Amino acid sequence: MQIRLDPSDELQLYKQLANQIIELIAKGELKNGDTLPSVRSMATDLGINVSTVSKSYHELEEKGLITLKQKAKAVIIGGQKRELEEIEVAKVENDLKPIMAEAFARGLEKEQMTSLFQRILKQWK
Amino acid sequence: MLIIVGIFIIVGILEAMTPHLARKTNVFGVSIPEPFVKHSQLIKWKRRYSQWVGAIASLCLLVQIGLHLLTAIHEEKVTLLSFLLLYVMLLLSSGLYMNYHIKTKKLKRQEQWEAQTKTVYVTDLSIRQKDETLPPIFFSLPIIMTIALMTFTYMNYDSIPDSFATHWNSAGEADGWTEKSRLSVITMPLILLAIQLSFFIMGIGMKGAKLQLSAQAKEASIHRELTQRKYGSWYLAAINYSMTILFVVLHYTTVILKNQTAQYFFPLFIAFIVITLGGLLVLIWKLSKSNEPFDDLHTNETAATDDRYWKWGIFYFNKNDPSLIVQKKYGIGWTVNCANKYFYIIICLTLAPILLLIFI
Repeated sequence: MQIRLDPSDELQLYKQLANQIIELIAKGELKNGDTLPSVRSMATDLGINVSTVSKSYHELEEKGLITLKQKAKAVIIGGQKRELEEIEVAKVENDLKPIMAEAFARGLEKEQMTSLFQRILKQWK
Repeated sequence: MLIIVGIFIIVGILEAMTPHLARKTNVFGVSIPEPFVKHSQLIKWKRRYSQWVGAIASLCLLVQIGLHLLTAIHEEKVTLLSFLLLYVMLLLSSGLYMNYHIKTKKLKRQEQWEAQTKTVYVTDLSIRQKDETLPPIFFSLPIIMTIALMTFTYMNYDSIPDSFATHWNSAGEADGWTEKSRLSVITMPLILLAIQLSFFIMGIGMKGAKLQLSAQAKEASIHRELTQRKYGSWYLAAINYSMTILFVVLHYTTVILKNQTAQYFFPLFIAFIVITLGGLLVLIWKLSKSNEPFDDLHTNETAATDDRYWKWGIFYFNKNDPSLIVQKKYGIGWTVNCANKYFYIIICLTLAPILLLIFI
């Protein structure tokens, strides 16, 4: 369950951290009920600012993937299979549309796009 | 004499080996980006340092043994000289350290190592759960014992003899005595308490301290960190408990049992020395074995370096780091974050019992 942040990447550090945690949940390595390291120890171990980690955790909380508890503990609540509400599905669709549209506009074939989709989905359980 | 020579040999070996014990990414207190850990100049300097310190230590040792065997100087004077030589040796090796520290820094700058590498921040989410550093509660038990001993001493204050032994010579006979007073009967427990308090704080600090993984040898560095933290805290606990037992037995026997030269004082003291020094050797053996070899360097990536927070590779000042205790940059062991406000509170707290003794 490694985290690797690249400061030279254009994506901000807190975003990178959040994305990597989300991916670990998707892969099933982080399960419902698992505890993340506290904001403080995460910041200490990574050698980045406490506020960066805190921002990252808050974003995950907003997305409904973790709950922040007392003593800066963060518990995973995402990852379990449940029925998504219609409004949530709509949001995913809205987020996905511009990315797919861009790829399509730049010349990616629909078949290629489908196989790309399959490939990514295969990484997750 | 034998004990001092023993200490001298162990300190000498330790000093000579220090550059090889530290993590490979820290050489003479300078952060080395991972692609450069096997730079030939660094390896040469490390070896040169060991040879110098080894030579100095051997020379000092020979002088002592020679004086002891060939001349009729009083043993106490030889002992004094041994300690003097020990200081000289430590002073010379610190001088050598500073010399190589500056050289390494210069080499790093001249060859622009940082410009050629790419810094990444790495950690592992499960590593904190695997961490076997002893919990702080382990270090709080001896404190409770000491406080109980102090209370017990006061409960039996009337029956304490008017003067009791507080110092023994090498033959185990009492040669230092202290007059009984409200303060003097708890002097020894108070000193013990101060040491235990600082151990307790160390214990808390070690648990929260940074787990430093490397970017290119992740698995090996996880193993190194877990090993070093576990055995480091075990060693701290071993010293803490053996010291507590030694002090408590001494105090209880002299003050409560009124027996000033018990048969078991000397063996107890030897056991304490054996645990302290022997434990140190075991610890070092464990630690040096766990250092990652960096056999497989294939990218220009490196974990973040922290040179800018270190002064001479010895003092650590980092306002952004919430941790109080950090791993030393040179050698093995722990040091404090001097930019942490709690550091000063703790200094005052641990010094308080000792200052109390001096000024009251």
